[in-house]
Amino acid sequence: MGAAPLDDDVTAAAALRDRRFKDLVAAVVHGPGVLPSTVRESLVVGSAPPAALADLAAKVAGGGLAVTDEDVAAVLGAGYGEDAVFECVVAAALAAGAARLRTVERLLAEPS
Amino acid sequence: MIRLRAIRRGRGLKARLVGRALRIVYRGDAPGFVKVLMFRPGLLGTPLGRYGDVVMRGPGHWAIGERELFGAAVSSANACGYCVGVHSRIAADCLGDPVVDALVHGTGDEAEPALSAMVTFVRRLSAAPDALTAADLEPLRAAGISDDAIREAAHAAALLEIANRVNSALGVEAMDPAGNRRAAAMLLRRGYDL
Repeated sequence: MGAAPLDDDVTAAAALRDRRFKDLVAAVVHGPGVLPSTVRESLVVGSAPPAALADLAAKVAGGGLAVTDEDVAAVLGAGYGEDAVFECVVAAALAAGAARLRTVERLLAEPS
Repeated sequence: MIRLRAIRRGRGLKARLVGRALRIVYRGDAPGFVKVLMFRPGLLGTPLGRYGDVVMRGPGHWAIGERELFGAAVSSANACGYCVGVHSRIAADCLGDPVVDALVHGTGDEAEPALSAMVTFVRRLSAAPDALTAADLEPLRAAGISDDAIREAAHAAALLEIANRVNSALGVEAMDPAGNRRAAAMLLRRGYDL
């Protein structure tokens, strides 16, 4: 591990990190966008998104490698624009990161 | 090729001017993920950069190279060629190639026990988070890693879980070694909050 920094600096950085993660979630869910905030929130928390976005979101959740040009074309063909595709990808990707942070907190809270 | 035409072209005068400048800096096309971050920065680029900067560069229990190593290991688990290339290069610049070869590429055995245990954990966290139990923390605690240090590593991993998926889903391609070196040098010099 690295050279020990001052404890107060580390504590402050952890608090800032947690605030900035919340800011990121807020920007993705509530920032200006073409998808309604309720849809973006459903993607971030992993609940059912609109049917036309579900396949793309599931592939992003699975790592993103399985996404194809045809998946994007299908969303566009359903009447969404490129901005909606972008928002869907970002929200589903954020969900994967957030889920893993929750997993770690769950493990740390369990008795050792 | 990036799948969304709007990202390839860049939106707005600022994005197009910065894109031209980056083509000069990178002696060719700007890195794909930089184009993604510059597209609608209020939604992703700015808040992700601010989060990433404190995760990867703020005061913490892990050195910068170690945090980058966690990100490279996660990116390897997710097969994100762009992120593996850039973050492996930063980790190697900080820690040396043998450590990266051992813990990211699996081609060596030169690694300090705590670092090795933490990398093993973030790889499992990436591949099968629901399968983890508190028993998976025991090797970390045995290696002297505190709960707060585990949280720090988890945030470095989470940052790349997000970036890997955005890159892979949008079709961002891996760069060649020279591109990785330039991007790594930029991130080491300027951090993530661009």
